[in-house]
Amino acid sequence: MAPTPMPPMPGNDDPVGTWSFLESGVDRIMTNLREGIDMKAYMALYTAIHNFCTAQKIVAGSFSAQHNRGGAHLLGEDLYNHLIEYLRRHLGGVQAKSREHVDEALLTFYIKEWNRYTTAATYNNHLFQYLNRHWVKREMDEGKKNVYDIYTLHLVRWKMDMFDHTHKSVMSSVLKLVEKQRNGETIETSHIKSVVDSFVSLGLDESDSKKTTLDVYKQFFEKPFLESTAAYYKDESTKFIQDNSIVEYMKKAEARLEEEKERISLYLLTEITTPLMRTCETALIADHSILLREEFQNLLNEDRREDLGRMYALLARIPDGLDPLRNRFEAHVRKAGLMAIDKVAVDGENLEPKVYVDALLEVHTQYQDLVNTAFIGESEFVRSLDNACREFVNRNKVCKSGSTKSPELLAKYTDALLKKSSAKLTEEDDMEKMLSQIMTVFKYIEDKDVFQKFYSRMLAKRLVNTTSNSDDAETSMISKLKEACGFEYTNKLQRMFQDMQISKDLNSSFKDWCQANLDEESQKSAVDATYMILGTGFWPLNPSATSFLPPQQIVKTYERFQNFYGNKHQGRKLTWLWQLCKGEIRANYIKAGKIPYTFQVSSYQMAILLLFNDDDSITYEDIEESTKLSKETLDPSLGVFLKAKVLNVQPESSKPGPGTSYSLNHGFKNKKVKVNLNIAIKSEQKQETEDTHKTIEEDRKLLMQSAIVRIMKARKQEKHQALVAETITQIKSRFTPKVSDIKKCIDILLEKEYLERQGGDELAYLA
Amino acid sequence: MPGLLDLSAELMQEVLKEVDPEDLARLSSTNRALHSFITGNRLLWKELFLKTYDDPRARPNEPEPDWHMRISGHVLAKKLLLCGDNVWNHMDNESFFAIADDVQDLIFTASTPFMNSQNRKALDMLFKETSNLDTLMCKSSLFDDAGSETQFGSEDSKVRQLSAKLHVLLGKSMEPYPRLAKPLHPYARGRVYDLSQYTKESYWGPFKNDGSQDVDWEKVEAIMVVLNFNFQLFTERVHSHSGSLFGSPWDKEFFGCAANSFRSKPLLCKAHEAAERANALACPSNSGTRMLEEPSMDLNSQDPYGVAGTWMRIVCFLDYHDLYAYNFNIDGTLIHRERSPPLSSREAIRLITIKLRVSKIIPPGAGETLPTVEFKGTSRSMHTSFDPDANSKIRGIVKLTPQGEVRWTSWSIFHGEERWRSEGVQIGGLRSARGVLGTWFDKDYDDHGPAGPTSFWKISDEIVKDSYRTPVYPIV
Amino acid sequence: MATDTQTIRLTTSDNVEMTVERAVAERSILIKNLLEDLGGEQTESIPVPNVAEPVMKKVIEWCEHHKKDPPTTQDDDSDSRKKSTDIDEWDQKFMQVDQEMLFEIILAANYLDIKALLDVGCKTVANMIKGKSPDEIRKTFNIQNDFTPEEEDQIRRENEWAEDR
Repeated sequence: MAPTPMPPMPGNDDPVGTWSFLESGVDRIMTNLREGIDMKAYMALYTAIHNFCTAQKIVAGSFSAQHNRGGAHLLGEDLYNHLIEYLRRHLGGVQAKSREHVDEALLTFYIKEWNRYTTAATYNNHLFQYLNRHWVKREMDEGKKNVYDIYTLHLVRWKMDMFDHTHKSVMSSVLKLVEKQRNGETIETSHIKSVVDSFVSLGLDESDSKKTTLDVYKQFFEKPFLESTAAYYKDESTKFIQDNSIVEYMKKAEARLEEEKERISLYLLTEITTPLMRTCETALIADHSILLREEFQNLLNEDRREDLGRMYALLARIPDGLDPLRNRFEAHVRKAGLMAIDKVAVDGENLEPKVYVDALLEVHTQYQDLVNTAFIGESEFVRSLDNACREFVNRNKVCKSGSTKSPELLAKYTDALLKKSSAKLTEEDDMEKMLSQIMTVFKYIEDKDVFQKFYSRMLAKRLVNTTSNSDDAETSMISKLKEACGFEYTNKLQRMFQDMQISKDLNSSFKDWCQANLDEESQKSAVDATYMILGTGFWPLNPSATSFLPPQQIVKTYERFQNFYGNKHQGRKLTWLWQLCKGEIRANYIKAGKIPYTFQVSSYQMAILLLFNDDDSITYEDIEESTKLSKETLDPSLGVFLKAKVLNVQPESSKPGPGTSYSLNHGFKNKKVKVNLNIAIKSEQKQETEDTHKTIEEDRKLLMQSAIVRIMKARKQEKHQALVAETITQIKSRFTPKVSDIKKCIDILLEKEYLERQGGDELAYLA
Repeated sequence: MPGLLDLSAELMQEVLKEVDPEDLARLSSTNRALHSFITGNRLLWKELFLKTYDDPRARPNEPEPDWHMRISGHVLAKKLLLCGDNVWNHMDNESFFAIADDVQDLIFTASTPFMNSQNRKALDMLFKETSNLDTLMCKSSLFDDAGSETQFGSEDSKVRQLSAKLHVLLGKSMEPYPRLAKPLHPYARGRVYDLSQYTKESYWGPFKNDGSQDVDWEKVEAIMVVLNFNFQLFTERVHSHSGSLFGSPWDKEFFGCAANSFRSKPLLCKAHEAAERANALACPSNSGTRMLEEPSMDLNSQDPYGVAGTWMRIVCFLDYHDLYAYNFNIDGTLIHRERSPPLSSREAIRLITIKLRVSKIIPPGAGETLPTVEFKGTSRSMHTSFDPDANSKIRGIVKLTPQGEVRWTSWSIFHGEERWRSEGVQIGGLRSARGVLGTWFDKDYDDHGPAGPTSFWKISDEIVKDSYRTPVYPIV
Repeated sequence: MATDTQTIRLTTSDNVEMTVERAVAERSILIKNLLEDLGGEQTESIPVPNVAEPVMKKVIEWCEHHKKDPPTTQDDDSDSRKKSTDIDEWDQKFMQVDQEMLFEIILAANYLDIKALLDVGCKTVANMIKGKSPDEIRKTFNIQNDFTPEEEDQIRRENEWAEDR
């Protein structure tokens, strides 16, 4: 069907005629585009606008500066205003019609009208292109507000004359549809998507008409959408939680959150993701968080990891949702730790280090596992776990007397592990695993200096007595400690190892020297001996408290070594640690078997037994005189001989002491040929532990004093309070000092005149 | 038959947009209709202006300037400078001031990035002829003593100040070719290390000796010349064995003098490159994960000076024996001189990175337009980590002087104690890329020094977190 | 059938029908929009009521030459700002026409919405003004001096900044 022909073209300078010509064309495009518009009409409309705008020449201007408003006036405003008038009338009609529809029918109508209108707007925009290029552009350059290109003008009019009157009913239709879908019905989602798109198109950026904003969409779509979502879930969740368990509720909430996320990709803008999720999270999680958290303790008690994980995932979505859980978790772990220690603490003094450490580790392992599975290893939960562990590792029933007990037991456990005795029990990779476990506990130990002290003493023993299981394990442990605490922490330990190596070399060169320099006689009479040279500063060893006169038989031998060493390293002084020396002597006097017994003895015991080469029976006083041993050392040494029946005592079954006398038991019998008589004495071990603790106290005092001096040297002046605080931060990695101890140290330094009091609580450094 | 005068208004506008300003002026004097169309045609003049120069407005919604007047100003200055038949060194003061104003205008309204700036092209064109540089930038008292035979200072103190300021804005030192004349730097160095110039009234900074906080551009000029000389020497030395080095904002002419010209660079994305460069200076190694600090949005948003971030600083100092010999009589009294004699001793240079954070905002007091901002931070020498004095803390304040210049005052803190103070002025004003030039000195204003020049400029809005691990044991 | 050789027909104001390659005709945004809006396959001739055949020929010649230029949009006029002298050689030669034709081309380019051609036209006019005195300009464009001597004085003072000294 041929379109109705256009009326004749108007004259160039005739605004009324031009508009009435244009109106008939615009109306046709608006209401009857399907019937078509032909080329002639298209060109006629464009040309009419062009001719109208270009009609005015500049010659019409005048020379007076007063009338000049910057260049010449451009034509086009009339046409623009007429178009506005037309659109307003047209949209008034559309809007009236929309009132005949509700619900889904309204949505269908709205979308259909929108599509028709925007298509027409594209046409009109092209036909009015000349107006866009010049008059509209000029108005915009001049900074005029509310002038838009023709397409945008169409949108602006739709917004004002159509949208502003209908958006409420359109939105309520949309929301009804969404509610249906949430209730499980199937709906036509494409309508909603079209509504969203049309709302978005209406958002115009006032500062730049070429851009769009989401303002209209946000205000008229997103806001009501979120409100209805909040209401829906508030209602649903309150009902559901009354009739179901918390775990069931969590499953429901999970499913709903997932569902809403899918809804976004179906027909919403991705921009809504954050606010929509926030809304759902508030209604589904935050509003019920108290109930959820109350369930947490139950889930922990029953170790229901899957549900704990579920709760974590839900509460992690809301702000500050997890903090209360972390606190509870921390308290729970602490309690579990303390209970485990209570159980093993019944062993009292006899508590095996291994039992204690295993108890600590078991709790840690269990909850670390929980953190990793249920709380996806989240760092804050790891921190809660660490806090709890630190707490029960350092303060528990076993540590009643002080936090130094844990490092002591841990060090003893480590010693047991690294000793030869346990060699068969541990495969090499197991050893590595157990050392790592030790480090796990070590990390929590506050008094790391205590561990260091015990560890180094026990390492010294292992090395001196060559009871170490393997060098590899020892090295591995030291490198772990170094990694955790730095070079200084393990410096001395490493030096001890070096000394052992150096001693080995020294012994072999001594042997070479002997062969080269001694006559056959001397070589024969020499005692076969091995020497260890231990640097005084590195080894936690001191000369024995007792005096001692070594037996003649070995004097020549060790003096020869002393000379050899003195020549090699001039100026160095050797101090013999007799209490650590040991030897073997053969009991040729016992004729029981073919092979004579060999006694493994300490140097003290050796001195005693060798006396019997000259006399069959010797009095206590004579032994004391010959060996110069103190009573404290002599009595237990004799005690061992009596107990092993190597010596007999007169009067019979008396304890070692003045007035007794001793003779060899020629009828000594033992299943083994080698008999170890060099047995450590229980009371000595205890004494040693006490000594170690005592030296720790001394070391700490020195450490605090040197820290204070160092701080004051830098600051020159400092307030008492601040000095104490600074001292604590400087040494807390080593141990946690008590404020009262620091104050004592300050007093000592004041006395020694390193510091002096100024006015108030100000202290000053005296150089 | 269609002709020029038959065009419709919008077409006439299209045609005239293509006409040069001078031609347009002549066209407007041919006929009433054209005169009326052209004169006061704001959009036309705006369009022409923006074709050759940068928009002087910081934001497009600020009120528009008088485009016609601005364009005629620039054209006039161009004509004065580029018409070759004047003896420039004797330019009359009136022309000097007109041109200086116009050149400052071009510098201060240049757009960012400066590489794409139209004003940069205009400036390049004006100063292609080096005699123009001599005429405008070599008129301070420094050129009484030094410079080539075509460079000499002005009698007029206003001309001297303005010329020194232009020289500072240029950024490059106008060192003459060595064979032709006396180099600037010994004379500038004399001025910088002359302790009698450090007075209470000048706040020991680059200000006039009258307590007004008015910037003394001749002092700033001397500082710039000294730092430029030292920095160049330093880069040549380092360059010779470690490849190319970071630049300073002083090596590009007229760069970074517009307010807001600073553009932040990301610190981490080119971590490798940055690390390589830093290593060239034996920077303390930043192994381990480098993390950015969360900026404090609240304080930063109230800070108009753009304090928070990472800055680069240069500090130079003279061996104390040289400083003492230059400044004191045998009896230990300070020498006061009419004019500081040249000083040829070499100085030491330190490159430092500073991390600054806003610590407090003090709202503007009566008569002030901007708040005072207090800041804190750390500074780390890029040379060595062994020098105990290499790393320190820093605190300071930044505020506007009564004349509207941005004044930076800072204190370096070593082991909890303030030791050095510094005073400086930001070249180009608020958030300029060029940064700050000034002096450093004893925090108690010790008359016996030491003191010296310093400069700092911003690298990035970001701050890399200190990868500082608390040692397990304090060093005993 | 290759679409790039598709042709359309134009009817000029003096009723001459011309056949033009579609890609060439689409240098005109007006024609391009029209073809887009009314659908591709048009058999009818497009009436162009404002342009006569001699001018249209010239315009089409230009469009032919610039067929492969990247299309200009309304936004990029900020980048295409160039000095008046920056006209390429072909365009300069193309514009060597009498003044009447020059202005006809400008009018047609404006009507047909061919921005690049309009620019070339305007630049050509600007070059005709460049460096000329007011009198020379009047002569070139046949402009009447209608100032009084007082007005002329005033204007000279206004424009002093532009004069060589």
